[in-house]
Amino acid sequence: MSPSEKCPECGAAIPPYAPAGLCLKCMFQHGLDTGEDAETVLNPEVHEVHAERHSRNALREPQLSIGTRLGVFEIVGHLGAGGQGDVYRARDFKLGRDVAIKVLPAEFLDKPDRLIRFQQEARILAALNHPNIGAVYELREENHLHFLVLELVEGKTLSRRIAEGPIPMPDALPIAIQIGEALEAAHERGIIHRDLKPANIMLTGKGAVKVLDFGIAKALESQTDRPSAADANAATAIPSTHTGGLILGTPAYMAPEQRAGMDVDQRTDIWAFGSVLYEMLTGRPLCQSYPTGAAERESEPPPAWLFPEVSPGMAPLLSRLLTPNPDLRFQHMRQVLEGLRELQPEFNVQGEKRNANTVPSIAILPFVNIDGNPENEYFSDGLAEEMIWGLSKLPGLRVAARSSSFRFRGVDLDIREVGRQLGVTTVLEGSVRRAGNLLRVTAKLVNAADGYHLWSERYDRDADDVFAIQDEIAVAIVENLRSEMLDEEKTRLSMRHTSSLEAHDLYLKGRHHLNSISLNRLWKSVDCFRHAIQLDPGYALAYAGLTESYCSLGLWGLIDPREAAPEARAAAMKALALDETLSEVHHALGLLSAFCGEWSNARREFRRAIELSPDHASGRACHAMFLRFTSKREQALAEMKVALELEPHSVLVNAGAAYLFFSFRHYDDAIRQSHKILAMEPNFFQAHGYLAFAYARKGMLDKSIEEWRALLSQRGYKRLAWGVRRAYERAGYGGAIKKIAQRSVLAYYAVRLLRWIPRKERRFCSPMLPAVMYAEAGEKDLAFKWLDRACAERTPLMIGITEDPPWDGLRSDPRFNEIIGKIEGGPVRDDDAI
Amino acid sequence: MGMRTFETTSWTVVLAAKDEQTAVSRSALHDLCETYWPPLYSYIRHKGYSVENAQDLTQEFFTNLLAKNYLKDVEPAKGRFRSFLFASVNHFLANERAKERTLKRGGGHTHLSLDYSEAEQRYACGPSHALSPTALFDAEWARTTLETALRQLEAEYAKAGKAHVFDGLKSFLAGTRADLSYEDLAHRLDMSEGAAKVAVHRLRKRYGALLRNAIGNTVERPDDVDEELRYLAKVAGS
Repeated sequence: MSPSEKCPECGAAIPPYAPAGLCLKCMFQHGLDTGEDAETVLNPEVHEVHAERHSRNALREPQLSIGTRLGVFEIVGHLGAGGQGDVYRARDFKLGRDVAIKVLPAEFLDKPDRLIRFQQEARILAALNHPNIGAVYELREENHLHFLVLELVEGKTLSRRIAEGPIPMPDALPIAIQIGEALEAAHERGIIHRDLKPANIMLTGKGAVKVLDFGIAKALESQTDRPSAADANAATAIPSTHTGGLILGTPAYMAPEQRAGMDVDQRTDIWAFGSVLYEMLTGRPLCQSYPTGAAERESEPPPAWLFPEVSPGMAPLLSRLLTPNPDLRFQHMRQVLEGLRELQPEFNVQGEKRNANTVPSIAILPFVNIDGNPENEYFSDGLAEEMIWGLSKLPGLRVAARSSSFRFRGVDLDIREVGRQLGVTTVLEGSVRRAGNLLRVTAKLVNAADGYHLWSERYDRDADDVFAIQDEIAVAIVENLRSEMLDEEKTRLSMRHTSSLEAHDLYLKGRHHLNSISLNRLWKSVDCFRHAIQLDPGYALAYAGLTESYCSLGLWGLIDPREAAPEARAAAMKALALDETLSEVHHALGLLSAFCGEWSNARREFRRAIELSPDHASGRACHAMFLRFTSKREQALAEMKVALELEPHSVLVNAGAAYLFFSFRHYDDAIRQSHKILAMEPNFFQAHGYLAFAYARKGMLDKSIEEWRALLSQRGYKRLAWGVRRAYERAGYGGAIKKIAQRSVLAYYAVRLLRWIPRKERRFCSPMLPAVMYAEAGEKDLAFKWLDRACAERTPLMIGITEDPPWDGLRSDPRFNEIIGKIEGGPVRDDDAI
Repeated sequence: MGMRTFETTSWTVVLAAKDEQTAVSRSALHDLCETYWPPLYSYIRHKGYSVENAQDLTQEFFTNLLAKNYLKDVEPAKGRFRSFLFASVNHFLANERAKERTLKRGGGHTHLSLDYSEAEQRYACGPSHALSPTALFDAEWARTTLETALRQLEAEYAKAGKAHVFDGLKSFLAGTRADLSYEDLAHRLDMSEGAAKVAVHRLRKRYGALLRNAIGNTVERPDDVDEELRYLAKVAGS
């Protein structure tokens, strides 16, 4: 029995959250039966009778018998029964082919006006011609029966396939892409499926997918019976209080807006697609209470960890498919397909990642924090991070980047699959439990080829011994993967930057906050680094972290850059004085220098950071963006490519690449890259900005406005997003953008007036925001006014205006060169980049 | 939760030592809490607390429960673990609202290993959110009880090297299947049809016994099991 059906035993609906899809009432009844008749021995005969009775109940008699003639058709078999009528296999003697015939409900006979409407709908459906859509041939009437003649698709339904177990990613992706292509083709013609579910999807023997019953739910509107809404898998027409009509669809796959009786559009199908995809990958239906509960109230995309069983690349995609608020969901199937196709190479056996590599390689997964306190996660993460950091410095060993291996946090995946996805020969996994000053660390090194353990160990020590444990694990790894280990390498591995465990702890916590893309956590990182410095004033890494935190606060507009710069500089200078051999210190100095427009220093520091740690992906991405402002375009692209190869799953590195593509006017690449970012991290609102700008430049203004609206909605400006749409309809693209510009002016003044708000809660608004929006709206005078203000406020990285597309319309104006002359640090010269 | 005989269930052990907890009673209470915390988490979430707050409160509630002697106030007549936990958490939440929560929450006193991501998923995918928090608590409790018995049953089969048999049979736990005949099942499990029927029957009986045992661990008297079963069956379909 598949879940979400009616129980054949008692007839009760089985909710999708029922354990193992079993009837809750019957499950309890077993307890009662056992109590009453504990010693009963099975009587097979009784049981058989029982089974037959249920089989009879489960099937009802088909309306037509085999051999019935309906004009040129002869019924040759009964294929199934649904809420919308019986389906038969029939022979078309005129065309010499077999077809499927769906007999419409008898109500059609009594309501001719609805029949006419249905005929109109059927004609539209018949026009859908796509290899992944089951064709509707015609609507006919014979022997007082109305029936649809449909393409006969042989194979098995997706629901049947799912009943055999979850579908592995490499098999699920091609299926999902074909379903997506079918939906995309239908949506382009304005046809919404409204009832997409595994039972409506056929898998043919040749690996092709056919989506059936397109638009049938709509076409049958008002003709359907009203089956119980509790019957979660049956197509249902639920009375809608919103429209006064009926809600059509299948509860288990209905989007929240569909369940609420609101208007439906292609995004409703996108939700259903997400539900189907989830079910394919997990073998379980996405329960329907999910969207009507907490998630609906919060209306934010569900966090990716809600999908622990699916691959890390897929989880964010699912998250955006299943976002309760349709405005924040994927808007078009095209976006979904782009995300799915991005994932395909990862699972392609011939893909680049599978290239045999003779250099031993390892992925260090985040250690599982098993003490149950999520607040200690930074510690277990930090243990893995430090080992990645230490081991990546050794020659002859390739270590998967942090952002790549940390994608597998909490994911229950076979180690061989993890190794396959990351392209490594070995995987280290382990756990950490802290209780007071006691520490238990387990670690095991697994051969990714066969899943066998190469080495494992358990350490029960005082928490103060964590460094020694790290060293012992690292040495064991190296000794297992390479034949020998030099003393010098052992020394390098055991280098420590602080002797204070607590300071080390705080540093890890600070990095944890800094690495998150949450703006709100940047202040927390500052607190952690400062506290670490208090405990160990000689801790260079903590100062480097503090520098990065302040630069980020300034760059993301959380504080006035004029406040951020001195704080960052003081920390950077201290870090340099303490230890000039650290890559992290030079990276922080590079950021600070770029922040302050000191191009020559920035170039030197980024270079030095990369020399000290060639695998420093963020360092390379920053260097690439720096090179962008010189004439060395090719070098910039090559450097960004290396960064992406090192950390293909880092949101920040990918965002750097999106910016670079956009800046170089490679709009298609920028769009693809931005969608990739959103698939990884739906909350990364900047990607919507790149998309909006890029679409506008391709003349796709509707899409551009959608992206602006998505960005604004994500930032909490939902009313403004609505207003932008209205302004666009009334006054075009320029009018809509001007509206955003005006709102940003308000924000600019508001933060300056509301001085009483505590610093950490205040959100700074850069004058560059009104400037760029006015430039985009074509309001030159206002754009220059705000650029002038930005210069006066020493806004960092204004140098972008020299090359970036949004400023193209201003460059011919004499005022532009005046602004360039006022930019802090002036333009980057090519010799800065030598 | 251990497989104790009915006379000495977890909850009776806990109650017997309610005035002066012993290592055994603490361990029994710990086991019970570890099994039945998800309904409590769902309840707190449904009361309107955010994910973070609900996690904090759940952790703190159990930390206090396990550290302090809350049990001395339990009246024998109302001696069901479900009722006790429900009353205790309401008391706790009422106090919690009245006082400023301290920073020490969750720090260093963790007694339970709680997987919140799973709990949040359970909550999101749980019974209808149209239910009141109290009804949701009961429905979640019922679901947890079924899962506990099901997990034990699965573990027993796995221990006996028959995990594949369990996988094949489990969908028959709630009745026959229209889409899978005993003949097909027998073929799939490489056994005769008669043996398949016997296997299904045994599975159901064992499941029933484990379910009664799981419920027995949460009530005070053997006579309470059927009543609790009927109650849970009633609230399960909410």
